[in-house]
Amino acid sequence: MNKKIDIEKFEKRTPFSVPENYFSELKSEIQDSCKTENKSYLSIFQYAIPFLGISLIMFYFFTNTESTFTSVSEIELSQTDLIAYLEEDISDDLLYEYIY
Amino acid sequence: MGNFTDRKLLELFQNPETRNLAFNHIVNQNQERAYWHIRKIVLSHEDANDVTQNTFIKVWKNLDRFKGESKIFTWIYTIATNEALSFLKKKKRTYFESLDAVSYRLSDNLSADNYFDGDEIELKLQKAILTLPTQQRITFNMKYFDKMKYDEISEVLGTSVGALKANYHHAKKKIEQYLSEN
Repeated sequence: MNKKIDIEKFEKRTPFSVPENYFSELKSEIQDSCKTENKSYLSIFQYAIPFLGISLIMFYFFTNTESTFTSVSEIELSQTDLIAYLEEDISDDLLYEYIY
Repeated sequence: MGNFTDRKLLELFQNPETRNLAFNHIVNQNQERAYWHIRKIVLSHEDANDVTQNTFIKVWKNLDRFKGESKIFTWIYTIATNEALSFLKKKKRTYFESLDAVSYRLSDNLSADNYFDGDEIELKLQKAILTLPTQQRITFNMKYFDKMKYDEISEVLGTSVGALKANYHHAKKKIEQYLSEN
């Protein structure tokens, strides 16, 4: 027959231990961890802002320089230039250089 | 360092010049209790150390949003409980493994743990406690070992006092049955 056990009569001791001086060191570790958390927010901004700046500059550069490139087919020629082109049999590249 | 009320600590924390002083005071007052509460959930000292640090990092980040509707101690206990449960969830071997199964698995490492210094009866008691469902285990630990009042446990866990009393009573019965059979 099993004995009736009443755990309320036990000592109620927590049977775990910690390394020596653990709690005094824990306080410093917590403070260091919180400082690191502050710094990690700061470092994200330090990288994010320049990255955004460079992205904006590149976006502006590419959207504006596209309009400066004009295909040969869009170039408007005077009649004189056109006749000269046909007579001289100038290549498109040379024509482009001639005009610009 | 003098004794500050919770209200005074929150005021000091809002001021950038006294924020660190307030936080140090809060850590001093609560770190041991938080650690032991966490330790009883996760069992291993190394794991309890990690979870305790994560708890106080969360306290640091969120204290300016704490409205003081409960005691700071109760609020920290709630964060500690949630962090410990999150930790146990990460220990699941598969998606379908329950938290209870994780807890039961932890008991295998108890006797070999360098920071377990209980005798044979205390080892059996801890193994018995680990057979309880996780929430029931937490309730039992807070009442039996931490000697907290049901009102306080209710604030931490968000469970009614009546449900907690029933929970504790059932937990005791299960543990006593386990001990008598083993």
